[in-house]
Amino acid sequence: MMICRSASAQNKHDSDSLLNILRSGRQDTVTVSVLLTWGDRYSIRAPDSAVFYFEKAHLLALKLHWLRGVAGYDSHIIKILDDRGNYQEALKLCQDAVRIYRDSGTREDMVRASNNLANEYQYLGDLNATVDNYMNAIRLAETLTKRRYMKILTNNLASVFYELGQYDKCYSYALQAYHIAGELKDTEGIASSLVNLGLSEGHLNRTDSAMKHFREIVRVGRRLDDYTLLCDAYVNIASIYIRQHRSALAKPKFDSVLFLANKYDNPNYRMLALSGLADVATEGREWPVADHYTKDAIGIAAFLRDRDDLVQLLDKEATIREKMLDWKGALSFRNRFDTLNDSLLNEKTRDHINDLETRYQAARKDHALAQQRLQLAQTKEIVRRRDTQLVILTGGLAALIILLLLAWRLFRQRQKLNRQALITLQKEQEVTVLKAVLEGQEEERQRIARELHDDMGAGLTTILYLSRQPETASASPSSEKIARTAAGLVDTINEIIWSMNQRYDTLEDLVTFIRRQTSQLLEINGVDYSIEIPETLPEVRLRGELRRNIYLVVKEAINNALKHANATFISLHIDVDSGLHIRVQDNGAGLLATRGHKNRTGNGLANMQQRMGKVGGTISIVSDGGTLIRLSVPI
Amino acid sequence: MTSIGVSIVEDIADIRHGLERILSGAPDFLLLSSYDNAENAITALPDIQPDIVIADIQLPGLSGIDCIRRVKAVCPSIQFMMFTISEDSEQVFEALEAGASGYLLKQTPQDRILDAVRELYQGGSPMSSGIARRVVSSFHKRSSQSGAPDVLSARENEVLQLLAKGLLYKEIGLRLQISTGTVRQHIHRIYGKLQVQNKTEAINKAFGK
Repeated sequence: MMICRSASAQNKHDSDSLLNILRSGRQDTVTVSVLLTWGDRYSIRAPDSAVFYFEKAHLLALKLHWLRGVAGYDSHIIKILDDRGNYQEALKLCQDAVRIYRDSGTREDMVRASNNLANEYQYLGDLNATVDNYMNAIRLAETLTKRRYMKILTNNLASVFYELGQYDKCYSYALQAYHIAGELKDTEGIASSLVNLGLSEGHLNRTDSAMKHFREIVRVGRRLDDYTLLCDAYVNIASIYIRQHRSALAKPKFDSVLFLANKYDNPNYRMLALSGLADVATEGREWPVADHYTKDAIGIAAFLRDRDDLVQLLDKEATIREKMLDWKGALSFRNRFDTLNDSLLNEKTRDHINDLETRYQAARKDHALAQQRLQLAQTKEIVRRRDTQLVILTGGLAALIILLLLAWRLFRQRQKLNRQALITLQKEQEVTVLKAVLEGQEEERQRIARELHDDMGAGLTTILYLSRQPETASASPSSEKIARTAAGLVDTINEIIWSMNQRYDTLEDLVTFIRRQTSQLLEINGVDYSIEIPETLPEVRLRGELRRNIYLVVKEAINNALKHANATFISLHIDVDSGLHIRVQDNGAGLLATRGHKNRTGNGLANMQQRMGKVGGTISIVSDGGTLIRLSVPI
Repeated sequence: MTSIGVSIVEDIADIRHGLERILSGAPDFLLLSSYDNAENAITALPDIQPDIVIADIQLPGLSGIDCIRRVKAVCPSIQFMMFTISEDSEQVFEALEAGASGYLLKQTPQDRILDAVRELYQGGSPMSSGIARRVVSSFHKRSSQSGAPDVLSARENEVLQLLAKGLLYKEIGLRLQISTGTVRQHIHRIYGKLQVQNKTEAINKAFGK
């Protein structure tokens, strides 16, 4: 309290002396300075009064031809212009001030004017010019003993680099500002450089350090009793928590911001708080809550005409409505978002174009003079050039035609190649499909084989062992028959599985199988036999059906010889050329003598003929004493 | 002559009972135990110490092949005979690799079942042409992989080649002028080597060779 009172007393004393000078009616440079200082007092509370005094100072400075005074007016009036949003006008005045001070000002004046100019460029969005002017100011400020300028400039530059997205540069300038503010014990400077430090660190993923700096801002804000610092710090801390999906920690911070914003009636922070609380609710999938907060935030953003925030909020709300399955609402917000986003984008493009145009105009003026000079020289050249041009043109035209022809040919060739590639691709696809079908068939075959083996095999074997029960076996010939049939069926299953198995699909497999089965059968029946088979066989693959039919015909032939003709010697002869030739010969009773079995034998023969027909082979039977059966199958 | 101690592992009760009856009816056989699953067999067999185990391959839970591996690891002297309906199946070959000494077709007539077990007891093993071919390619693949000389003797090779062509033991005997019993013993030794090879390969694999 003491300090406050003494400060206001000081102020009172100052104003008295200033008033005295103004009342004295002096018309010198001191009066200009006093008028400017006096106007400054009104710049916030009564801008019109400020302008009145500034204009008075301006007129006097002009009358005195005191350029520094004019520049001083420029520097003061721009604050008012800025507040009224008249940045273009302010920019022009700042440029004037820089020009005047360059000739007649102190270095400090130049630093201030360059800083003001940079500020205007920043307001106008020309960030490159902003950086240039801040850099100029910093170069000058480095030579001054007053460190205050360096603190302000480095921190200002840090914010520009933040806007430019160059966060590492933002960080290093903010750090510089932070150190200088520390030296100056300038708490507000510390706070504003801390904001830039924390923000840039957030983008550089140095979350821990950013958190540390934002917490420091909270302490500074408490000390200065500045709620805006607290709000800034809280919003940023909470945003880091949101990014880390720790919304439970973020929520109390946003609540505090909302509380402060309501207390000080600051719609900007209210909007930030509501938007943050909406994010917290979104994280927790509490859609109605998120909807409530976002809607409020949208209202404030619209009121503030803060279109950058508004566009983001609309996007958020559209997403929230989608989650609430309110498609109509989502669509309406999405439309608003699209419209605003498009207009923002257009504006940015337009700004960019305007910027380019200004630069273009400037460049054109510079070039105009040079061009005039060139024109004279050009006229002289024109005649000579025209001849050269004609030659070049004719040559160029010819070259162009050749080039076009070549391009056309290349295009045709490409087309042809593409067509061929397409055909190849189609063929490949067909092969793939075929392969898939075959694989599918193979899988199906394997499945059937497995089921035959596992289920049928087990069932038949059970029947076989049941029929061998001793109490029935002694007396019942039928049970013996059951056992024989079951055992026979198991063999049949094995034969079917063998013919279905692709592992055994060669001619050699077939011959081996016939030999093995035949010799086993004859061995069991105690019949002498001879088997003649070529040592080497050609590598030929045979379909399962073919293998099975040929094998069954041979088996039938052997069985006939054994069962009906009572043979005591059987020979099997296999030969291979362009076809497979098999001879089964026995010394049995012959077909004529087996009439008693006529039906069965007849059936067997018909069966054999049918099977050979199926595979495109022939069978001949000669029965003269014994029986000779010849099979021939093309392979 | 001491009798042949036999155990049975077969999950289908009717078949198991049928086999039990056949074995208990023969004076030179001693039925020691029978199991309807591999787990019980694995626990009990090392104590029972039968000469021969007739084991089904497909069992509920652990398979007959698992049963061979585990029991053989503790008691290598116990011989396994796979009880199957198809002599050429992949599973029979796997069982032989795991240490089985032969197989017995389920549909074999009663009297010949006893003959087959007796043959195994006397050191003779059966082998189909399909299995013979797989054994040939298995030895071939391994010897070319490891660079080691083929562990099969020239005679064993001859026997295998003829078997692969579909010749019966008797026919091979005639062709090579040796007895059928000698052929059986060759096969028995080949199975032993197949199992040793299998073990060596497993160790080599484990050491990343």
